[in-house]
Amino acid sequence: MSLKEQLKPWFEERLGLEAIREFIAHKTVPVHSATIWYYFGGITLFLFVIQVLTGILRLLYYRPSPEEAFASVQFIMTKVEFGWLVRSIHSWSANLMVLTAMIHMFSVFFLRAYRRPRELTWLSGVALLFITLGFGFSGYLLPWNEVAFFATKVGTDIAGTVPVIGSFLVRFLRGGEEVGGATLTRFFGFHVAVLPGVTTLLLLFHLALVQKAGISSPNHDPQPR
Amino acid sequence: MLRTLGDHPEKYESRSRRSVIRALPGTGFTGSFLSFVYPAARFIIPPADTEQTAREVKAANAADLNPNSGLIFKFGTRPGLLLRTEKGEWRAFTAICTHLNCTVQFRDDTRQIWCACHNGLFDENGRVVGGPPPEPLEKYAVNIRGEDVMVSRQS
Repeated sequence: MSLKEQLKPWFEERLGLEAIREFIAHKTVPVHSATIWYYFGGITLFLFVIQVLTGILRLLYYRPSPEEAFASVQFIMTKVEFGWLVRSIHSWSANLMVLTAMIHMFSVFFLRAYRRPRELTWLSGVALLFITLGFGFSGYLLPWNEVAFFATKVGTDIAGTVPVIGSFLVRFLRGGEEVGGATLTRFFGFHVAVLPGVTTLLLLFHLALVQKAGISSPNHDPQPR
Repeated sequence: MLRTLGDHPEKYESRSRRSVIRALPGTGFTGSFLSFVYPAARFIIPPADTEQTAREVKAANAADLNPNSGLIFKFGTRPGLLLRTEKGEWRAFTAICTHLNCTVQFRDDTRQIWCACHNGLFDENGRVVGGPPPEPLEKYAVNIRGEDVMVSRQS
C-alpha cells in the first residue's frame, strides 16, 4: 500500500473530508447564477484577499510614524524588489474593490435579493460596504504626503458637522485637535488591525448566510408574511 | 428547472489523452501560482541598501555654532555630533559612544567629548583619552556650502 493510501483513511477519520467533497460535488446552484450580476460578490471577496496579502507584505517595510512614513513608502517604491508592484496592486485593488462592492450592492438591490429571508445578509453587506470605505479613508493617510494630509483634514472636518457629538468625533478620529502624528498611528491601527478584524467576522457571517439561504431568484416571490 | 453546473459526461476516448488533458490546466495553474509567489518572495528578501541612512545631511546652519561648542544632529537614523574648535575648525563624529552606544556630548569647559553613561572621554579628534571606550569615534567629513554645514560619511 502506498503512503498516500495509508494516510488517506487516517485523515478521513479525523477530518471527514469526504462529506465536504460530497457536499461540493452535489451542490445545486440555480442556472441564472451564471449571469454577470451574480459575479460581483465573489470578485469583491477576491479583491479583499488580494488586499490582505499585499497589505501584509507592505507591513514588512512601512513605518507608521510622521518622521518615517513618507520615506518608508519611497523606500518600498525604489529600493524593495517588486515594491512598486505590490504597492500598485494594493492601490488599484482598493479602488476596484469599492467599485465591485458598489456593483454588488446595486445588483442585489435591483434583483430584489434583499427580501425575506435574506434581510440580515443585506444588512451585513451594507455594513461591509461602509467598512470598505473606512479602509479607503484610513489607508489614504498612510503615505503621509501633502494630498493625504489635506484629504484627511477635510474628511475629518466633515465628521465635525455631525450634531451634538461632532467635535468629539473629530477628536476621536484625529487623536487630538489637529491632524498630526497621533492621527497617523491611529489611522494605521484602524487600517491594519481594527477594520480587518471586524471585516473578517462580518464577512464570515455574510458568507454563512449566503450558504444557508442559497442564491436568490428574482422571480421567486417569498411567502407573504 | 434547475440544472447543475459541473454535470459532465464521464466517457473519455482513451486514458492517455485524458491524462494529458488533465495535466494541461495543472501546468497553467502552477505557472500562474509561481508568478504570484515569485514577486512576493523577492519582496520579502531585504534589499541590499537596507537602511534609509543618508550619505550626506545638512547638520546645521554655519551661524548656529560658536567656536568651542557642539550640537547633536540627525545623521539618517543615528545621532551625530558636530563641533567647532576654539580656532573655529569644524569637526563631525558619530555621537554613539564605542563603549555601550550611549549618546556623547561636547563639553566646552574641558574641550572634550564626554559620554555621560560611564565617564568616557574623547578629545576633539575623537580619540579616546579616558574611561572605558575601546575605540575612537567614527569621524565624518564636514563641508561648508554657503550657510549650510554639510556632513558626509568619509571614504
